[in-house]
Amino acid sequence: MKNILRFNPELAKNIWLELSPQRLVTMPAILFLFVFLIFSLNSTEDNPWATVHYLSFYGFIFIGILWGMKTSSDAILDEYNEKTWDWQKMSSIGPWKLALGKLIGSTIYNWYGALICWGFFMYSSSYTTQPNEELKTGFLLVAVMIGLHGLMILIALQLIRRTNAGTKIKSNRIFLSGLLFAGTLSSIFSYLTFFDSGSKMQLSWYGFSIPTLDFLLFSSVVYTFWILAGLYRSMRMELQFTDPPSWWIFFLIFNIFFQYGFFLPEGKVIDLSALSATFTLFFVETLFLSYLLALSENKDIVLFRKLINALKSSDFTTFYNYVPLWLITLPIAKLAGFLVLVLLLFFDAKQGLAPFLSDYGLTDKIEITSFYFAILLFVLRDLGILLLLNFSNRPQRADTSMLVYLVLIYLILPTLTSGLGISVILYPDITHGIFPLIGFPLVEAIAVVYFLVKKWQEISFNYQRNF
Amino acid sequence: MMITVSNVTFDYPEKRALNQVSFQIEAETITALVGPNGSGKTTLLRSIAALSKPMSGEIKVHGYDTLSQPREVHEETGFLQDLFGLYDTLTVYQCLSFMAYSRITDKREVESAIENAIEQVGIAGYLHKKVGVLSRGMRQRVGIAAAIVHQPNLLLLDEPASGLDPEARYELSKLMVNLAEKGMTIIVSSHILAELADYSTHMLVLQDGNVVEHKKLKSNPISRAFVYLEIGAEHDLTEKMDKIKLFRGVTEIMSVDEKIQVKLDTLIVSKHQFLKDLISENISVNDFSEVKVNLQDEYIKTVSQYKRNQSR
Repeated sequence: MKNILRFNPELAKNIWLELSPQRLVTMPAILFLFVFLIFSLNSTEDNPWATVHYLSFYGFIFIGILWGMKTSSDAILDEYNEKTWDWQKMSSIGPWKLALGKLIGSTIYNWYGALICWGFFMYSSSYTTQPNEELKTGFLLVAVMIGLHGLMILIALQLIRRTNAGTKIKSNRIFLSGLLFAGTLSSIFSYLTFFDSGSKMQLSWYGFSIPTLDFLLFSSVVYTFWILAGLYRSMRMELQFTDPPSWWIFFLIFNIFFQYGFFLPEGKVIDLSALSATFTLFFVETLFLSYLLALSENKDIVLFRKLINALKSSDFTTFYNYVPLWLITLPIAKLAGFLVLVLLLFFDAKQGLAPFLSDYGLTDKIEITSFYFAILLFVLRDLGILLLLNFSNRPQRADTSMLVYLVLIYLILPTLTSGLGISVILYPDITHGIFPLIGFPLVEAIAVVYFLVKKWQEISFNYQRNF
Repeated sequence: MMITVSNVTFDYPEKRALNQVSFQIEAETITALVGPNGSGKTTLLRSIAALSKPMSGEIKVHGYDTLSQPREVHEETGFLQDLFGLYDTLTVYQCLSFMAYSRITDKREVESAIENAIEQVGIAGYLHKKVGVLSRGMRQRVGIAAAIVHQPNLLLLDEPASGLDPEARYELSKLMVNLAEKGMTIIVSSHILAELADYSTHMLVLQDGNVVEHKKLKSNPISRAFVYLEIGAEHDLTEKMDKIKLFRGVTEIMSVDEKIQVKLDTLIVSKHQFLKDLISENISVNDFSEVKVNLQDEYIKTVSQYKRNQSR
């Protein structure tokens, strides 16, 4: 144990906490009992290993991935709730070791069970019809498990950073959002591999034809790397290092290149139509991320005061070090949208976007331009409301209220009022013409900005009066 | 200087916790950090420990800047917070081993550091007990052992005596003096002022995020070489003071409320010898006692003065 303590004290602590002799015996006993039962019950069948293969797959998902997601998010939240997190923050363990200790250590019991399942899964692959694909699936499972556990720790760290000291945090919200993400991921994987059975479906990426499963494995490893990079940066922040958000910008740029490969026709390096499709996808993604981050990051007045003070004194380093990620992502989204606009208007690179444009009824250049600006105005309205709620006297439930507002504006109200023609007030809708498309969001955005400025002036006045 | 705090302002969304706070703390002293609830004590301690970042200003711990060199500050500092947590399912020894290995960079020193910490706080008999079954006082000791296991130069304690029984409080007082004598600089925030008086060398009073008072206390439990003595004298105060200030061992002299107060270096001359010297010089003495500071009185006096100034 001393060697593990020397190598990574966080890992050693987790071994003490998670691996009691009783637990060490229970896990394999149950799993081997399952295998024994399968063989007993399937004794007349030709291939009980196929059943073992099938069940070990779900065993890995349940014990390793899902249960592990809960354990990994609890690892940070328990430290925070039990007031031991500050000990960790003051330790001399580096950010990477701490991240690794948490990632592997907190889920060590899940790894223990998952690896037994994984052993059965890999061994029984040879009894299936596609052994090579099954082996690759085995490695895919491991990459997804590491990535999702890392993501859960990342979300937990994000949550404790924006929570007032002394407030206990429950892991249910994190676990549910993780489950939602895992569910989406699993749907994408199932969709991509659904048509794969037997036919070895291929994907085209940068002109290369790659088997879907191989590509999923490659993508999972790459995105797991990015999650670990995010975890490293987040841990550094917890250890009180002041880092600029450069990693996040690199990640966004990486996504442009990654996605460009899907749209690029074979034999080409630059294709304007592929570029417009890539930037459109990137525009949508970064807008979504801007909302997601704006909802999850700290938005208290103190941060904005610090940022404004830094700007006033031309201290751009401080501004860049403390600027929240959503304020970085939003201008990047706008830039991506602007690039799409330039490509569509001046280079007529519509080919990749033709179905999207016709779906939204965007036929000419004025409509496309107006649509782009309408989106920006609605974003300004929404994020302005989010800030107003957070600057209110009772900001505790601001983000939850905003989520309800977003669901109401973009889901419930459009459904309830379809046919009444008020959708143009709620979200970008070209069906009523250009003037309502721009006019309504413009009025709404101006109103929100007006109230936001008034609120800020009120806060500043009170602040200066008190001190 | 062990700590230099310059113009530190710390804002929470709803209030300002520290307002342009500046002070310096010398090495090997024990500072009592006092003030009412919400005066900014915990925020100040967290900022010194490089666990919270102030809005503006600068804090240096042993020369390290808390903003640009937080990890160096963490190495210099041990911090036992109010309502600190420990790993209840680990044994005391496992808990200390984890803390030691995660705080000491030179792994060869870890084992001796653990033994040292155990000895200093007196928990040798509890090493194999689960932390969760320990009494409040014993948990406090384990907490202090965890905070000092890497032998920091600075120890910050936030309300360490809350919830402790009188015996445990007495033990804590002894431990404070002991640690300071071994060269540690200590800042203790507490509401129990009488107790702080037993071991504090300085008092820092915070009120509404402002430093209202930062002063050296007369009774110094660490530097036992110096004592403050009070000599009752009915008349000829000035004449007597002129004589006494020439005595061996007298480093300071002043008159307070018709009495003479003397700071005596007891390494040069003992209290007993000093009294003998006074008598042999025919200086009439009707009272001779060591000045004990009443922190409660000092604090109330300071805060009342601050409130009077605020209301003007």
